[in-house]
Order: sequence, then structure tokens, then C-alpha cells
Amino acid sequence: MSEPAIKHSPDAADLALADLADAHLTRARMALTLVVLSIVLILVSIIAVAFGSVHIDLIRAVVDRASPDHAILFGARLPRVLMGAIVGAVLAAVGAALQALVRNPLAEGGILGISGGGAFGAIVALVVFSHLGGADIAIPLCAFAASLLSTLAVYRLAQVDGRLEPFTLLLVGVIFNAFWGAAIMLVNSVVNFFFTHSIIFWLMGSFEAPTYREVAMVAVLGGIGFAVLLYHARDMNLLSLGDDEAAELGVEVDAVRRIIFIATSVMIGAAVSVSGIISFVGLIVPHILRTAIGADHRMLIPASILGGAAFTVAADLIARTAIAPSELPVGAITALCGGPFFIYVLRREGRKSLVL
Amino acid sequence: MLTLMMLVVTALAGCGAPASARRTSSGPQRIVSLAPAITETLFALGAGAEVVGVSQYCDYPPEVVKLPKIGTFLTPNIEAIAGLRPTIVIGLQTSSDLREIRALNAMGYQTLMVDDNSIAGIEAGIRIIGNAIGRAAAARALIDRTHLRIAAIQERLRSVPDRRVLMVVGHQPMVAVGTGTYLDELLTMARATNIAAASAQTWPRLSLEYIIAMRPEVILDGQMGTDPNLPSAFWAKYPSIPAVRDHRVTGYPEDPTLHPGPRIVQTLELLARLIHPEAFAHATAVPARLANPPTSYAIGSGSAG
Repeated sequence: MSEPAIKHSPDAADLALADLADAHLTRARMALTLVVLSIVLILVSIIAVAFGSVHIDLIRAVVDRASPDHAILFGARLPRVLMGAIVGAVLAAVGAALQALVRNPLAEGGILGISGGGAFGAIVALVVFSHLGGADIAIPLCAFAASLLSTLAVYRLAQVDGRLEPFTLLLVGVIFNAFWGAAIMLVNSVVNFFFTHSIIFWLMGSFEAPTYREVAMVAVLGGIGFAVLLYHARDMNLLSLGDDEAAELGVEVDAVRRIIFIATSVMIGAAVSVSGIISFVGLIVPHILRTAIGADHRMLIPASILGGAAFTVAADLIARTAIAPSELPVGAITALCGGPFFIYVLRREGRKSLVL
Repeated sequence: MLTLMMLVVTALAGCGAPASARRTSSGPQRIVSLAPAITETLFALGAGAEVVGVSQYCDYPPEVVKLPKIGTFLTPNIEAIAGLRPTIVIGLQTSSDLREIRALNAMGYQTLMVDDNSIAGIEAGIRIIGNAIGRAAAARALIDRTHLRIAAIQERLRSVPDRRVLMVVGHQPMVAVGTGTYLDELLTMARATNIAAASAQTWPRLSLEYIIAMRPEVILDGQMGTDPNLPSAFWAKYPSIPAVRDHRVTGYPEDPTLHPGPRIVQTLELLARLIHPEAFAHATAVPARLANPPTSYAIGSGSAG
């Protein structure tokens, strides 16, 4: 069963792929899709940099280093747009990869309990280090460590007879997600009332006031993750066919699954450690792209990276400006905007969209 | 069962009124306080010996630490309260869960909920509590003393310029003191222009961009719940803010600042000293700095112009 019978030629694998996706992937089609998505991302980013809770003079911001405009653009707005783009890209790419991994369109970092573990770590660090000092370093570190530990636990518990079972993985993840939610609420009810705002901050997610150091950290870990996912994009296509089919077509199923799972949990850990739980991005973006461009992961992964970035930057723009000078939690915006749109796409596409 | 339901209905019918008096208040009371500000009021009125139970957060005056705890003001424990056989239970309208209060009413306990949203509300609360526990004269005297001290502080501030102030209660998210709070009123009394007043929310989650654009001259950063060393490191990244440039970013103690009780006058003096230190240095001190009006920034949504 787990032993690949015969190593087929790559042609056989590509033939199987042609069945899977309703369109053949050509170099031109891929280039066109990625160019269109890149243009969308660039446009959204320009708008997000130009608009905010206050109006600034972009020319003065660049020319006059002592002006508040400069401080707003480079100290507040730019790191925030960058962080939104990187975290959005990470969440969407991870969603696309996990959905292939467990062959279920509901999979994403939140559902698998990874983000919940990270948020719990952040909140415990917040409470513990509030009196000890060094909270600004301890919180992201603990969030990151807790995401990884939570992932490791889910991964171990989801193994049946030494093999990672997709459905067990999904179930264990859902249970972990609920467990972490309960643990966070438990902490919330025993600690000082004034922590409540911060706890909701981690639960709803935000890109408030990130430092360039944090942006760089997520960019590096996210970048490594993207490389791993892109390298295994073809394997993800074959995994979507089923474990045995993938094994027959030359995929080392368990090894690939382990690598993708580790890469995605590092990516999610990095994202949660700086921005809390931002739900729906990993669910909606790959799903919508899949209905538009098909399920070939060689295109879906890079498209999700670009689409996730654009979607999240746009959602954060709404969070920043809707009730300025106050802010809304971006996680609420992604869920509010994404939810109905997701249902719309799902209804329009009918049963077809449920096929990975 | 039917009796219980009727009791609940009776309690619900009466919950619109601030107090539901079931027993007359004469002689020594057994008082349970559901909030730190209430405990402080009771001790300030000389009723400390009659307080038999307090909330977990009550810590002033120091002797209350030894008193039995009845849970937090958000989730008071009805059984613990009943066990103390109180003649009256006093809490805050804003922060007490009305379900617990209804349950206490249904059990026949007298409850009293007072307002803490405004200075007028706090003063009215002191008066109402004084009346309820038979210490109306002490309440009047306490309010008069408070007015005198407020007047003295305002006299000191007569010639200072108003300063643009941001009062932060927490980072991540950046929550500030907004309009419709007693702290906003105290800031105004302390000759501050609260930059968070542009938001309609009482505790707005303020955007960093807006803060930089409004160029606050003083930042009071309470940094509730997190690292006390964090604020200075955080604000140092934004030297274009006058408060940062001029080293006018300071912390403030949670106690008494966040206690909407009889010590609001201490809070007022604390805020006034932090915002206008020169007015308290010596009598001849002249405010050296001029208030720079903010350059023309429009708020994105246009909600505040």
C-alpha cells in the first residue's frame, strides 16, 4: 500500500493531471494569470499606501524627513501594508497547500488548530511577561513556539499505524482549535479585566504598528515556506488524486506530507506571532482562485500568494479607514467581506467548486 | 418553581430603577461592594467597618485586602454574596452583569447600582450611596471637599495653555481614553485637548497614523497589562510627535487613575501635574512652550473633520 509499485514516467503523472484540472496548464496561461494578479496586488498596494486614517502628502512624506507625513508613511503605513501583504500571502498559500494535503476544501491554519495554539501562546506570554518585562520579544516567540508545538501534537495524534491520515488530521485539528479557544477564554476569565482588549486583539488579528524587524522575520520564514510549497506543487496535484494513486505515480506520500506540514506550520506560526488569528483568508482565497484558474497547484500556489496578499491588504485598508480615526480588527473584516463572497462563489459554481 | 418565576418577574419589573429597596436602611449595615470605586466610596464615607465583602480587584484602602472576596465585578459570585448575609449590595451600572443583580433581587437582597461614566454620575453615586446607608451628611461633606480641591487645582491651571494630549490605556490594540468617560472630563479640567475625542467611541482603538498626524504634546501611557518599559521604546520610533521629541511621554499609575470613585480629585491633580508640570513647579513658573497647532490633516472618513 505505502510501497510505490512501479515508478511511472512523468508523462503518466501529467496525463493524470489533465484529468484533474479542467484546463491544461500552459506557460502562456500561467504567465497571464500571474501578471494579472501581480497588477491587482500592485494597484491595491498603491491605494493602501495612498489612503489611511489621515490624509498625507506623499511627496512631502518622501522629501521632508522631519514631517509627520514622513513618520506616518514610513513609520506607520508602509510597514503595515507590507505586513498585510506578507501575512495574507502566507495564509492563502498555506490554505491552498493544506487543502491539497488533507484533500478537504475546509482545511486552513485556523481549522487545523495551528493559529489557535499560537494565539494561546501569545496570550499566556502577554499575561506572564507583563510583570517581568521583555513582553515585546517574548510574545511573538511564545506564539511561534506554541504554534509549532500545537502542530507537532496534532501531527502525532493524527497518525494511524505510522501514516498521517487526512481525515484524522482534520478532526484532531478541529478539536485542537476548539480546545485552544476554550483555553484562551479560561485565561481571559481568570486574569485582570484589562487584559481583555489584548486577548481580543490576538483572537481577531491586527496589523497594528508592526516593526520592520517583524516584517523581515515573517518575510524570510514565509519566503522559505513559499519555496518549499512551490517545489512540491506537482506532488500536491498528485496527492489530490488519493494517497495510493500518488504513490503509484512516484510520490513519497508520507515524506511529502510531512515536509509540507512542517513548512506550513512554520509559516502560520510566523504569521500568528505578529498579527494574531486572521481567519478566512486561507479558506477563501485559494477557493476562489481554484474556481477561476483550476486546481493545478503549480499555478494555484503562486496565484494564492499574490491573491492572498492583495485580499488582505484591501481588507486592512477597510479596517484602517472605515471608522477613522478608530480602527477595526482586520480579522473581522476578512470574515465579513470574505464570508458572503465565498458563499456566492460556492453557489454559483455549484458542486464543481468542491472538487479539488 | 412558579414562586421562583414570579420572583424573577418581580425583579425584572423593578430593574429599571437604580435601587430596589426591600429593607429600610437604619442601624449598622452589612455592605457588599462589587467594585473598587464603590469600596473606596464606602471607606471615604466612614462606613468601612460595615463593609463585609469586596470584589477581587478591590485594594484600596489597604485594609480591604483582608476582607472576604465575592468574585470580580464582571462576574460576582451570588452564593459568596448570599453567604455574607448583606443588607445591601452596591455596584456599578456599567460593569456589573445585570443577571447577577436580578438574581440577588430575586433572593430578596437590596441592590444599588450607581453610575461611573461621568463626574456628575460619580458624585450622584456618592450621594445615593450616602442616602442608602444612612450617611447623607458625610456624602455631602465629601462632595464639597472634592469641589474645593478641584477648584484649587483649576486655579493653578488658570494661565496655562491647553495642550493636545493622548491618554493611552493599552497597546495592542492601542486603546485611548475617549469622550463620554470621566477621564476625558478630568483631562479637560486639567487643561488638555483630548485628541481621541475625534472618535465617537468612549474607548477608541486609535490608529497610529492619526496619533502621529495630531501631534500630541503630551502622551500619558498607562500600558495596562503589558510591559511597563514598552511605552518609551514604542514611542521612540516616532520622533516627529512633539511629546516624543520633548520627552513628554509618561506613564501613570492604574491606581487611582482608573478608579472612578472619591479619589478622582487625586487623579485630576496627577493628570494636571503630568500635563502642565510647570504650573506646579513654583508660583512664578511661566509655561515656556507654545502650543503648535496641528497642520491641516483631514480624517479619512470625515467623521471629525
